[in-house]
Amino acid sequence: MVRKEISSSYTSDRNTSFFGKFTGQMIVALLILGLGSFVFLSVGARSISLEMIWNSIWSGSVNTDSIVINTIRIPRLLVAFICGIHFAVAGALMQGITNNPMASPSILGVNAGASFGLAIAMIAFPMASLNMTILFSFLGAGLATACILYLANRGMAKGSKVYLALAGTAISAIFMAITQALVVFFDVAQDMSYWTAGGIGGVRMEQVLLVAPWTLIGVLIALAISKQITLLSLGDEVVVGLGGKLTQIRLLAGLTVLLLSGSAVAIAGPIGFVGLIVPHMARYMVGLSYEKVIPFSAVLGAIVVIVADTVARVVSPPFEVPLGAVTALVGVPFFLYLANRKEAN
Amino acid sequence: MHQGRRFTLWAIGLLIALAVMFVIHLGTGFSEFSYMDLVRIIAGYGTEWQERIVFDFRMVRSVLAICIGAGLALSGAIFQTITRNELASPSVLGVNAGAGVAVMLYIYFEPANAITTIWKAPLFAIIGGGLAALIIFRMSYRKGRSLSPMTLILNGIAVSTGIHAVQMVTMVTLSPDKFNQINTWLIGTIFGNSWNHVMVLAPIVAIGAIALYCYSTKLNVLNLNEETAIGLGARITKERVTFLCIAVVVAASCVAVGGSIGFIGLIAPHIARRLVGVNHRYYLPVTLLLGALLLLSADWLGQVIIAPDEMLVGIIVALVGAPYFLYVLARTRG
Amino acid sequence: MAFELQHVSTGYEHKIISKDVDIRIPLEKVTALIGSNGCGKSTLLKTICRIIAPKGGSVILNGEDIHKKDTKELAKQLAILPQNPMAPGSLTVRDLISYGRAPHKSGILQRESQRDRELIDWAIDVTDLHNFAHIPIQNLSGGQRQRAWIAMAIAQDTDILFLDEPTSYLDISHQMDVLELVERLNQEYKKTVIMVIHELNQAARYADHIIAMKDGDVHFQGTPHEVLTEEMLSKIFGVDSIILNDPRTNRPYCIAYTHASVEKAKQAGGAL
Repeated sequence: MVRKEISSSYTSDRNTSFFGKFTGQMIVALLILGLGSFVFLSVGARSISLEMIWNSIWSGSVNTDSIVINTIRIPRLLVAFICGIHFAVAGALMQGITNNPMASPSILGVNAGASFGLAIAMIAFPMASLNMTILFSFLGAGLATACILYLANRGMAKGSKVYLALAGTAISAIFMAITQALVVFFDVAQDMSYWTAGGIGGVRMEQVLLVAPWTLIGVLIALAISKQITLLSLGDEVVVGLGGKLTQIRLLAGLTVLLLSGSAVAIAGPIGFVGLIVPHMARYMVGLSYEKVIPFSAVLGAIVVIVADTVARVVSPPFEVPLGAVTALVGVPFFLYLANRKEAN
Repeated sequence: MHQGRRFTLWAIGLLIALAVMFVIHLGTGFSEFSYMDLVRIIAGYGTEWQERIVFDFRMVRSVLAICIGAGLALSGAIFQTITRNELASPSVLGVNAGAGVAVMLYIYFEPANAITTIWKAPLFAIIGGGLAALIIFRMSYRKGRSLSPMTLILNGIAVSTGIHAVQMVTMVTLSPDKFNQINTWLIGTIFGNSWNHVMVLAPIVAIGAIALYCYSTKLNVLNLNEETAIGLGARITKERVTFLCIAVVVAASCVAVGGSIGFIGLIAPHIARRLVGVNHRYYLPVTLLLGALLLLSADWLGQVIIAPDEMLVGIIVALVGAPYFLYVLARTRG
Repeated sequence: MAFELQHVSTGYEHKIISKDVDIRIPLEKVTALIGSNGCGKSTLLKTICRIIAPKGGSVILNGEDIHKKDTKELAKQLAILPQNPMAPGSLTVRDLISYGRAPHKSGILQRESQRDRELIDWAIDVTDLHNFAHIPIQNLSGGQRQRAWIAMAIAQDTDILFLDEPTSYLDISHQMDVLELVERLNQEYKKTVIMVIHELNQAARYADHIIAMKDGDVHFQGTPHEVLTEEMLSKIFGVDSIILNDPRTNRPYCIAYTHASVEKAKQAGGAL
């Protein structure tokens, strides 16, 4: 089924020029992202006009609005970008290397693992720097990934796409339970609940600057291996047949996933379903070649997260709904659709 | 008969273990009593204060742990039978989430302290849990095709996630008091209930258990594939729905009193099957005893592990249950 | 007395597989349903034994439409062994066989009666499963497991037995075991057996009545000699063949060829 789609998409590629269509799509997506960013900056507890936003970014005028924009909303916007890019690219990589449409950092337990690492960091080193917490987050995510890979290699997973998702859920549950127990035990529940709900309010510019290099590194690696990922998504036999190196690509892609989702969780908490939905949207729009899917997912991911965060802020003021809840409400129906499609079984 | 003898041995062993655990559980708590004191107090020779502690605080808690553990385990066993799936359990099939959100909405709209209205919370929990389970079953059921176990579980997990999201959206707008009340309840705790709760819960669990035991032949047949079951004269849809209803009512009542305790309904039936096999005549009683024993032990552990503080029993159960779930998953074939 | 299908149409959901089928299945005989893959023989068998409700027409047994009868009452008259029966792997053989008694139980508690025990023991006896009675079915070989399922079906103590491809996935010796058992059940205990089977020579050897299907329709029915003909093989399976008679059993058997090789074989036969 999947293979058929792929071959047809390749043939259609030959008919239209490669760059023409894709560049157009990318420009439209970037335009939407820009537009969304202005809306994002303008709405909130204090509504700020678009003109004001423009001025406070480009001219150095100082007033209440420009302070709000520069110290609160712009960092928040940037974090939204980062999260969107990280989770979406990580999701695309996972779906590519597992050849499983249901793979994503939240569903396969990577996010829960990262949260676990975070809890450990909070308990063991309450004064740790953000980079230190990110490191722990990586380690936690790595642990969860190791668990899922172990289960995936037990044979059963190859036959059933659903199985891997189930195993991931179980791993998530384990890490969540341990995290919960730890935070109750060491009395850091309050600090932790902020993360587990998945929220990006109150992020400072310094934090953004600390995570941004990871974004760059992660996305660059992802782009560099995107061609091989396309081959992987055709199935193991094809890759071997074409002389590809299965294990190396998988390992590199896996590490990139850890890098991206670990750092995103450290700064924003486990925001679910972005990594699941966005790659599907991207594939639907630009076809199945990961050279296009990965950059497009990055832009789409950013759009999805800024839209979700805007919704989270305006839906029941003065309260802010957790961002993770908004993405879950959109993501769950989509997940159900994937799980109940005929091919899923 | 090999199996019959094994069942008798295990049943007796588990009963003894349960009795021992019951006494240990009674002896645990903030004020220290020796076992002699305990015997004296139970026999009616304690001071009024001592009696109050032992009967109204501790024994209520012990009895409830037994009821909830037994109820959850039992309904887990039924879910596993009618879906023919080792991974099914009340929490996986959305009963916990559904019951949780219903009780939360009830607390949300009710004036303060309303959770003490004994009858209302379970009723809401049953409706919510039932609806969630129904939605998940309906979604996974394809006409003319057998119920796919994996899809069912995935749908359950997804719907539960969705319900949790709705819950989070609502919870941020709650007052801190109500937030804490609900949050504690959601994670699962048996503390802070009265004999009235026992009066509501115990009959539901007992009636459910007896009814299910009486129909163990029917349950045995439902455990086979659909065509075989039809051949043996089972009215599949009707029986499934009936047993599902019983299981949902029992599980949701337990959740209403004890909060969202997951995994008991998954582990207990699984261990029971390994001990005495899949014949429901043996399997159901052992499941029930195991569930009671597991939750009672978990609750005791929660009290002593970080004494004088207390770990919510839901966390303890999840810590044991989640790895076990993974283990079951790892050895599941198809 | 016979099983009769009158104008039966059947299929799944929106797809009709068989239309307007009329057949007559003799009681106390072994009947085999044959046909190419996907011709609808399993669907038809499931319709006859009430797993699938027909889209039209009726299935008549002893003058009554079985799809209008109570399923539990029916379970005392007909037993079914589906193509891929499933049970929890840790179930012991004896427990599985005892489930066959379920339709005969009523009321609560439902303990095993003396009659139940006799029939279970008899079923174990007939299928030669003494040594395996307390072993989990997951530890049995394919042939043993199939016998255990047959034992469950016969413990149900019905006059009619439906077997959907009882020999698939078994090697030749286990296939023979199962078919010998079918023959014995029919001859000694006068059971009516209706089975779907792929191997034509086995159908001809063990069945008294053969129904040949193609594309959902019944094209031939009758005794093995009437049905197992060159015409049937060419029409139903699209192969040419030579039909011979096995002098020991006085049943026909076939050797199938492609068109070209059958000519060659005839010439070679002529030369001899």
